[in-house]
This record gives sequence, structure tokens and C-alpha cells, in this order.
Amino acid sequence: MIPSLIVVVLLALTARTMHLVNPPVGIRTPNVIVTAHQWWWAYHYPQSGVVTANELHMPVGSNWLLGIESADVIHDFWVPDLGAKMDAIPGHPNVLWIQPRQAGTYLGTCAEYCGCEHALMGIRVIVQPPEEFEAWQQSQLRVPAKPSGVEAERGAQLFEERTCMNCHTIAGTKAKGTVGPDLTHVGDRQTLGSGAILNTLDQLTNWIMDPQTIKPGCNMPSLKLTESQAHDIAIYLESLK
Amino acid sequence: MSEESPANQAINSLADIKEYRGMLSWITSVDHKQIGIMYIVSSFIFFLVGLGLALAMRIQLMVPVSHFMSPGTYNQIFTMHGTTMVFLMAMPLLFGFSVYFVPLMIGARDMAFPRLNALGYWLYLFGALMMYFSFVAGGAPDAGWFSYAPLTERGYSSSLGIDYWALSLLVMGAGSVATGINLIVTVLTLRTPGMTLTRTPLFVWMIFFNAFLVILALPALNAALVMILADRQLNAHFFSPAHGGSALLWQNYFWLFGHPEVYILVLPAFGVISEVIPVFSRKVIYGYGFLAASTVAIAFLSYGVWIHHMFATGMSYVILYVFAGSSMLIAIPTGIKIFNWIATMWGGSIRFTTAMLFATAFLIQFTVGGLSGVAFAAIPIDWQLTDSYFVVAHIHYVLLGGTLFAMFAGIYYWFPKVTGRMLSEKIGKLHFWLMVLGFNGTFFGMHLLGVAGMPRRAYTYLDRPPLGTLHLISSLFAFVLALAIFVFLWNVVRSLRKGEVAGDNPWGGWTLEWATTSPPPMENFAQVPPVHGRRPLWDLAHKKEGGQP
Repeated sequence: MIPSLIVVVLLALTARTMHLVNPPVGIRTPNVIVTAHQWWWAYHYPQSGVVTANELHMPVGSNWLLGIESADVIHDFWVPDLGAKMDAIPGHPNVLWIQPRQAGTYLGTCAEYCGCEHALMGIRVIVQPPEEFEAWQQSQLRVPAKPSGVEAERGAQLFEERTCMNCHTIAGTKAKGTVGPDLTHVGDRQTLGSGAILNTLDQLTNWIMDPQTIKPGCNMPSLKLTESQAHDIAIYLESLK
Repeated sequence: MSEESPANQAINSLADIKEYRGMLSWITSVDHKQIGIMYIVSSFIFFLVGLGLALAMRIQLMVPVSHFMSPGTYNQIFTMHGTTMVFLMAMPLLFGFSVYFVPLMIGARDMAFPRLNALGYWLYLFGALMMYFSFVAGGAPDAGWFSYAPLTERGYSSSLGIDYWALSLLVMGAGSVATGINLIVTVLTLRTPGMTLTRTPLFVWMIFFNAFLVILALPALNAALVMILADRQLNAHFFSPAHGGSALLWQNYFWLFGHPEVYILVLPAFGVISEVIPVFSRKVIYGYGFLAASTVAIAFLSYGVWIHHMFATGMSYVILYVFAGSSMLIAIPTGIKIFNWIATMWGGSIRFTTAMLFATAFLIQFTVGGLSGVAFAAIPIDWQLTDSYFVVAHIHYVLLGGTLFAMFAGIYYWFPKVTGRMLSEKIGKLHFWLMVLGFNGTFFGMHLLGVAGMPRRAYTYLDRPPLGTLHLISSLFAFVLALAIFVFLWNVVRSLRKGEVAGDNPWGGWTLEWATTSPPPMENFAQVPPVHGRRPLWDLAHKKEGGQP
């Protein structure tokens, strides 16, 4: 008798909390569409058209609806300090509410085992004051300036000649691949490889030389570039802001 | 039958035939005791392998960003650890206890279908060997023990690992269903005269219900395994969303099997506890009827809770409420059992033998695992903690702190019956305390790791306090746990050679297996004592005729 009452009370509390933290949605368009890939995250802001990867920017205080989708296998979007987690399932779009109350950087990760590099599929949520977020959004919509300087120009040319552009997009250039992360403003990001390493010129050069030593099994192959070629591409990419 | 009867002479003279001696007697055996021992020994060998895999993982996770092994290797190892411990170690260990003791406890000569019994064992053994053969056949399975589609589709997993995984589970699954049917028929038809169902020992009750769980749950897995094999070999697209299949379908099939499976691994442990606690408390089990009936409730409910493994897949809230409710309800019959066992101990004259110590630790650790399970039934908590190390802690508290501790209680309790010699109590107590220390040290901190945001099945993690410290503590205690297992092995080896001779009934047990010699003769009983109640040996000792059930 008493145990049954406890179950009823627990169930009522469960239902109440579910509705508080994740109320059912009608046909509202999400603020961001999160698309999980093996082993990185793509973010698309449908209202503004911004596309970015791995680092999610959002304004402090707003209650945002995230659309959670997957491009390949099942993943799970989980930022522990911002609330619940939600599976990203191919062919089965989900939604998740989050409402950060304080500005700052929140770390999360893929929580559903998704293959080789499941461990290095970090999420970085950068929560900013609304005006700062608006400025960031405007900067993301600008097409980056043409490369200036010999190294950056050589890098841009290599990016097109080698296979880089088959997988990556850089707005304003011929590169329109969608297999890997969008690199239009990669120079702005804090980390590379879904949070595997910090975004510095040296680290980026190492990554381009041989991503397989940093993130073994990831889908970016080793391109057999010389160190100076990798360095030139890195200079070019770091100039994309 | 008397000593001089021709039938008895015939049995004795079997020892003179070549097939009944040495290795050949084991390979050709249809004797439930030999098959039981083979199950238990094989499962223990796989336990040691699974333990080795676990230690390799703990070495890898000891420090952040470790390069001890590659991600590919780690993923194979954690997959094989889970698969080994669930399918190659826990299930056969429980089957070993079942086929050894059920016939003895109901006063039968053997299982109802002795050859089917042998078939079940050999299917298990060769299925298990096939699983491990994958290591040399181009890579072990690497999609986790529940192998979520579409990661298991050929496009994402091109090695043969998943094919080996599915095929060997199919082979073992067929054997498990056969053994389940065998156990049901045995309990229904071979009970000695006088042993009505309400006088059947609780261990037999639990195994009986468990056999129903086995034959009803495994077909869901077997069907799904055939489908994934069809997907991989024949491009069937059952689980491939890109071609009109459904990724969630696999999860529904798997957990429709998988949740009853959890109870398949736990009910026999409940059975062992229900035998060990009364004998060492010198009291009749409290609430026999409740213990049996609550098992029916658990078995029934276990088919209606599988969605709680899928709370974060974005299902409709109506479905979530129903499964949250059913998952919470299952705590009630389980709680009834815990209180029955405590009430049995209450006021008893408790003897803390090693078996009783393991049973007591089971009560505490299983309750911890059960409570974290109830936490998962509260969906918002599940949304935060599922797929984190909190789940790893939960499953190990239930299956290691629960089932395995109970099985050790059973091993210390029944070892004298099986071998004729006692295990050393002194070494046993050392084993027990090392194991309590190692187990809780390894797994308690994992609750905190989960709360701190550590996802499960990650081959490494970035250096973010407190992850490094908690992982290091867990890794160090894992070696204490391994040491405990080696102390146990030493105890077994030593006791087999020079352990104290046990006699028929060293613990003053009441059930029929203690009425025969240790080890029991091939025919089990020279004469089955009359059964007038639930404790035939007590009745016999007190010359009670026609007692109450």
C-alpha cells in the first residue's frame, strides 16, 4: 500500500519535472539544428543562416530549442551543466530545450557510443551576452577576406588543389564539400578536431600533417603533405575569421 | 534399492568401462552433475578472460589522454568484456548451478532430457569459442554488448566482428532455450513423491521462473540477430534508416530481450540467497509464499519495462509515463524480497561463514544497485545520467555486487557437496574482504564520475578535474578486486587437494541435496528421504511424520 503510494508520488514528480525541463513542442522551428557526424558536430542556425561546427554559440538567458539530428549512426548531445541529453538518431529528428542562465563556456560530449572516436567528440557551448552573440552571428555571415601574404595564398591554392575542398566548405571559394566541418571561420574557433586539441598555428599544422596521430580512426585521411605545405594551409585557415 | 541389487552393481561396474573414466567421461557425459561442473568451470575461465579485459581498460583509463592502447583496440575490449561477462560468464554460471542442483533438490535422478542438457552446454562452449575466434579472423566485435544499429551495419563496421558476434550469440541462444525448456520440464515432472510445488525449495522456484524468462526473452534477441545478419550479408536494410529501415527497431528488439535478461541474471542469485540465509540463520525462510509470488511479479513486469533503456531517444511522453511507472513498480516485489531476507535473519542464530558474509554483502550492494535503478526510472534523472559512468556503476552493483556475490555465496555453500571437501574459511574470509574492498573501491566512484559528466565507453578523456583522480582510484581498486579472485582460485586449488573432508551435510542444510553423499553418486540418491514439508532433512532428524508444508 505505502510502496504503491510512493510510486504514484514519484511518477507525478517525474511527469511534472519532465514538463518543466523539456515541455512538448508543436511545430516550432528549432533555434539551432544540431547534426551529429562521426565524430564531430555541425550547427545550423535556420533564422540567420549561420553554419558552424563543434562550438555552439548562444545568447545567455534565452530558452532555446535545439533540433537534434544525425547524419550517420546514433549519437547523443550531452552538455551536463545545461540540462538533459538527447539522442541524435538517423531518420528520427529530436528536439531538446536548453536555457543557460550564466554566460561562459560549457563543455559536453557525445554520450552514445558511436564508433572509433566516440571519446573525442566534444561539445563546447559558448554562452554570450545577447549583443556579443549578435555580433558573433554577424561575423559568421561575412565571407572571409581573400588571403593576403605569400604563405596564405599558397595555402589557399593547396587547399583547392589537394583534396581538402572535396570534404570541407569555405564560403566565397570553390570549396563546397559537406563531409567534414565547415571551415569558413575556422580561425575563430578555440579548439580543433571536436575539442581534441587547442586551435593554434602549430597544432593546426600538426593536424593537417597527420590527423591520424591526434585522433586515430577519424575520417580525415593523412594527405602526405610536406611540413611547409601543411604550414601554408594552416596559415591560410587561421586567417579565416 | 539395496546395496546388493543387480542395478547397483551395474552402475558401479560402469567405472570399469573406458568411456566412464578420464576426459572421455566428461566429453561424452549426459550426467547433469558433470555438465553442471563443466558449465561452472568454463564460465569461470571466461570470467578470468573478462577480468583481464577489464584490467586492460582500467590501465588505459588510469590517466587522462593515455596512449596505452588505440581506440580501435579499446572498443573491441570493452565490447568483448561486456559480451563475455553477460553471455559467456554469468548465464552459463547460472545454468551450471541450475542443472547441477535442481535435480538434486527435487530428488531426481537427472534432468528430464539429459542429452538436450549436454547439447545446451556444447552449443554454449562452441558459441563462446567462435566469439573469441573473431580476434584472429580479422577483428573482434566493437559495437558494445548491445550493438546499436546502424553502427553495426556493414557501412560503419566493415570487419567480420559483428558477424561473429551475432552468429555466436545465435548458437548460444539456441542452447539457452533448450536448457530453459529442460529445466521447466524437469521441475514439473521429476519432483520426488511428496514434494508438491509448495514444498519445492525456493532456489528451484527461482530457476523455474527464470527458465520461463529464458525461453520467452531469447527469441526476441535471436530474431534481431537474424535480421542484423540479413542486413550485413544480404543488404536487407532492417536497421538502415538511409534505405527505409529503422535504427530504433533494433533497440526495441534488443531491450525486449535485454531487460528480462537482467532478471535472468538476477533471479538465480535470489534463489541462492533464499537457500543460504535460512541455513546460516538457523531459521525457516520468512514469507516463502511472498518470495515465490514476488518472483512471478518480477518476471511478469520485466517484459514491460524495456523502454527505460531508451528514455533519451525522444519518444512520446505517454509512452515514457507508462514505462517510468512500470519500472518503478518493479522495485516493489524486489523490495519485498529484501525485507523477507532481512526478516529471516532477524532474531536468528546467525553463523557468519564465508557463504553468509557473501549473502549479507549481496543484500547491501544489491540494494545500492536497486536504488540507483529506481533513480533511472525517474526520467529527468535518466536524461542527465544515462549513458554516463553512473550506468556503469549501476550495472556493476547489480550484476557484480549482486549476482556475482550471491554466486560466491552459493559456491562456498555448495562446494563441499560438489567436491566432498570444504573450502578454507580462513582464506575465504580474506577473499571476501578483499572483494568487498576491491568491488566498492572500483565502482562506487563511478557514480560520481557519471555525475561529473564522464560518458561511458570512451577510450580516453581530457584532463578535467575530478575525472583523473576518480579514474585513478577506480583503477587501483580494480587490482584489489583481481587479487581477491586469485585468492579464491588459490582457495579452490588448495581445498581440492587438502581441504577438510566435508561429509554429507556440513552446514546442517535442510534440502534434499544434503541427504546424499558428497560428491553425490552417479544415481544421486541411494534412497530419497520421504518429503512431508519444505525441510525434509529437518523433518527426518526430528522424526516428524506428515508435517505441515
